[in-house]
Amino acid sequence: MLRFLQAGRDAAMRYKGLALLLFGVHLVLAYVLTQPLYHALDEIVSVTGFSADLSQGFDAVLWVEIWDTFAPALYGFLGQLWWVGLLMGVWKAVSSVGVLHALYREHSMFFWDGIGQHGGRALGVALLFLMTAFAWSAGVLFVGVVAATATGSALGTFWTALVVTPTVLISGLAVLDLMHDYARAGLVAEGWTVRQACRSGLAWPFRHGQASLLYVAWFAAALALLALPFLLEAWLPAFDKGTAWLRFGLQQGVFLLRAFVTVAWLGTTMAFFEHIQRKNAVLIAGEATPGEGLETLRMT
Amino acid sequence: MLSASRRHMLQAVSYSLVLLACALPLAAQSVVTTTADAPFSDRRVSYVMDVTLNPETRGLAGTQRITWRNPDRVPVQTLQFHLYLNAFKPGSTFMNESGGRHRGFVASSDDPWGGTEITSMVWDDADGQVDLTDAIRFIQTTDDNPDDETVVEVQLPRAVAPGETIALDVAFAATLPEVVARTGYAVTGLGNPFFLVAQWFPKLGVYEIPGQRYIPLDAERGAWSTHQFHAATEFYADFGTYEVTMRVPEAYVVGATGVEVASETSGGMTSVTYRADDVHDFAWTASPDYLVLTDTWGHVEIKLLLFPYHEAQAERHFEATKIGLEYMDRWVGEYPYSTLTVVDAVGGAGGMEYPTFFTVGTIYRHPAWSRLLEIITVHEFVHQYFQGLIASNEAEEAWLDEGITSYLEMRIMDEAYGPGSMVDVPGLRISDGAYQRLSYTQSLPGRGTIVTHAWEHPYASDFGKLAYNKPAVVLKTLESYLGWDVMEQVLKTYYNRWRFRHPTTRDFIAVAEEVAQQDLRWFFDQFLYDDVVVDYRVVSVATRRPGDEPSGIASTVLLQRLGDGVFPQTLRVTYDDGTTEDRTWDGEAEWHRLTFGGRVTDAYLDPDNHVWLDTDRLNNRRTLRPDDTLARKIQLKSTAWLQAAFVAIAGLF
Repeated sequence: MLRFLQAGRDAAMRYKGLALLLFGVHLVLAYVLTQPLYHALDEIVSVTGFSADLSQGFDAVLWVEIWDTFAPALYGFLGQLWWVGLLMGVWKAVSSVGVLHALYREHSMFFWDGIGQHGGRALGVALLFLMTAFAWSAGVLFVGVVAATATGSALGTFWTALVVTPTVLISGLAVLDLMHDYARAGLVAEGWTVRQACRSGLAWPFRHGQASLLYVAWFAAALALLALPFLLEAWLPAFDKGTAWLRFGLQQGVFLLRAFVTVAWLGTTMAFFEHIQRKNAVLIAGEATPGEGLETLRMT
Repeated sequence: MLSASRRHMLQAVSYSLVLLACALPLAAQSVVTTTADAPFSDRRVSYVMDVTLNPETRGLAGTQRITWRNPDRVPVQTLQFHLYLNAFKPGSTFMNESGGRHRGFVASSDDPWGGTEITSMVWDDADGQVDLTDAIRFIQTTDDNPDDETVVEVQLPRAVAPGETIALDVAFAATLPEVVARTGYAVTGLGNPFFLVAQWFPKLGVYEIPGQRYIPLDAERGAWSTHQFHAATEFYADFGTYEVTMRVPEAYVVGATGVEVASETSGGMTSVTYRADDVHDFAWTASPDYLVLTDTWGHVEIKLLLFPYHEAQAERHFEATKIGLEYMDRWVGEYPYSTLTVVDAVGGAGGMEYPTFFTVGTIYRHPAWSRLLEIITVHEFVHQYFQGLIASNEAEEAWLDEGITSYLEMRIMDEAYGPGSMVDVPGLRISDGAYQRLSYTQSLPGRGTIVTHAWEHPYASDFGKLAYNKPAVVLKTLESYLGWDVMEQVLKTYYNRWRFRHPTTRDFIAVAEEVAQQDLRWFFDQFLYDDVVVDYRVVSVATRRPGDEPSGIASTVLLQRLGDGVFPQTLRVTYDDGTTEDRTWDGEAEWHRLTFGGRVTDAYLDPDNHVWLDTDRLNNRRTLRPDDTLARKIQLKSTAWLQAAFVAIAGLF
């Protein structure tokens, strides 16, 4: 297991540009999107003289009064998030195959070529997995609501609604994410069709238990790094602009590290996929039809 | 949490007291229910009651012996009683006004209704017993709803002479409603029954004599004040003594107003007797699920009835209760009773006050960062004073109990728990004071006046603002105007003068003016009796070079009164060298221009945040040196959050 994790780490170190690219896209988009918030707040607060006071600490009374004027800008910002979310989804789908393509067989293949070759199918796979994720979420939430209502007590409702249901929901989504990763790997490494990728992806963790352990290892690291920017906000209160920029810089360091983890995670996925690919190729050497992928091999 | 040894010791003491009480005839008991040997109140009424709870039918079968002394200087021919539980019958005024909903709680069972019926009433007169049952008739004292049966009047065959005390023997049968508003039955988190038995017995109204409250001193005679039960009204009653025996199934735990003086179990039923002196109401609770935890504060034994699944929050309840006792003792006066029962209630039964007994409400695993539990506990404890001891008419002048209580709750919470007294999350601390202020300023502050009969508010939704939040903000502003030392004396004087009596708004104002030694009509007329809004703003700060200014530079600050309310203002200006100067303004004119020698960079109205009535504080300040620190800080924070969101969203694709 360790060698696959090391392979992922090595891949991230070797392709620093990929991590920088993933990080940069998020940063630029987020900064541009929040610019209207800056202008709206600047217009409302800067001339009042309360700016420094409000930077020192939260004042509910002033914030509610600010909210009256600030709300339209915030709603405008939030209103854009649906298409930004969609855009980020598309970017994630295509950039993942781009990265996997770049990491495949440790060849220095071009990221953008990967997007060009596999992007279309990657979007198809992403759409199917997204639908599966929605179906799973709807099903779990429905059962959760029914179960919480059926318990009829505060204790039952608490554990069902706030502990069991979210845990089952998130665990299921994580498993789907794992399946999706290997479906994408198959797209790149084996040239699978969308249908083949989805079917093999869904089966992957059941056939290769080690994949789950590898996923959990990177998931834990990714989760810790995702929490760190928020912890920094608690640990380093920004009372002035200098501290605010310093904290922001530290957060960006964490996000950059998170981007490296993304590349490393995909590196591990591809390394493990290739390992299985090689193993299967040895086992059934000579029986393969050139051009057919791993799935076809397994079915013979 | 209490240590086990301390709890055992307290239990042993409690058991010893109970055994001692059982060994003595009830009539001859010397139970300590208050801190005084002599009566605190004039005890115009007394109730000795015996009631049996049938959990299966939610039924109460009770008898009561009521005594009443005619306090008037003329004979009184009628009696009036509240039958509060009839509010939970279809067609009642309460139901018509509330639509069966109270504070967001609504009944969900097939048969949520409740009610009560007097099955017999006998006057135990010196000349013999007189059956009054047929003389009972429903009356409507505040509206013309013939279906409202919350008040009855009894025509007596002879008038009660001035100063005469009469005794009535009453039998009644009641059905408790599903808990929606304060009283009734519900199911605990363990699926077992819970009963809050409040407003449950036929209860005399208050006969007000000339000179009492708003009855003119020279009036020919007094009058009954017995309001129907409206959606927004609470209660009003005379002080007296209560001795109540409650019979419940053996497995049930009982808590009640006053002190437990006897307990006996036989035939699967437990009889528990409580006694309370100098109180104006009696409520009790019963459930098989209660844990009984005790603690003491000074002379007060605190009994906490808590559901097992909330046991982890016991210390929070005790701490908040003791904080309430501590601060009220210091700021207002002594808590005169020997017991205090804190009840973990279900749904709409939570957050209600009765003498020496109040209900709180919490949720399973209530997070520590939310102080709602503490706020409710402190609020209901403060009611022990403002309504429990100073028994204003809650139906007519709700602000005197809810408003003063909200003010003191806010003050205690903010003092004891600091800036996060309501929500205490790093970076997001909200105080109880801020909550009260916003609840007023953000809820159409110009609509409605505080001194309004609770059932006469044109908009029912205004009741909370006008009875709770605005009075809290008005009193906080008054405190800032007079200074805390003076305000503290106002509270102490009001308490000492009016405890165990029924004061009015007029009486509160008289105390405030007497203690402050100034005419405060301008304040109370605007903010208690009118709907004016206070809002001042700094319109502009300008610098110029007039010829007659020695320094060569002068600044003008233009102020505007935007609201119709008037309140004296302080303006603080900051010069470009960092020095400051304060000027005062009576706030009366609509526009006010001030001139300063030197370059003013910042003008700030009410810089010490004294005028909580100001509905828009953001416009109180203007600077010539714009500062984008906040805007940039928020943008950078939003950027980081958005980046995190992108990473999280990516997991779905």
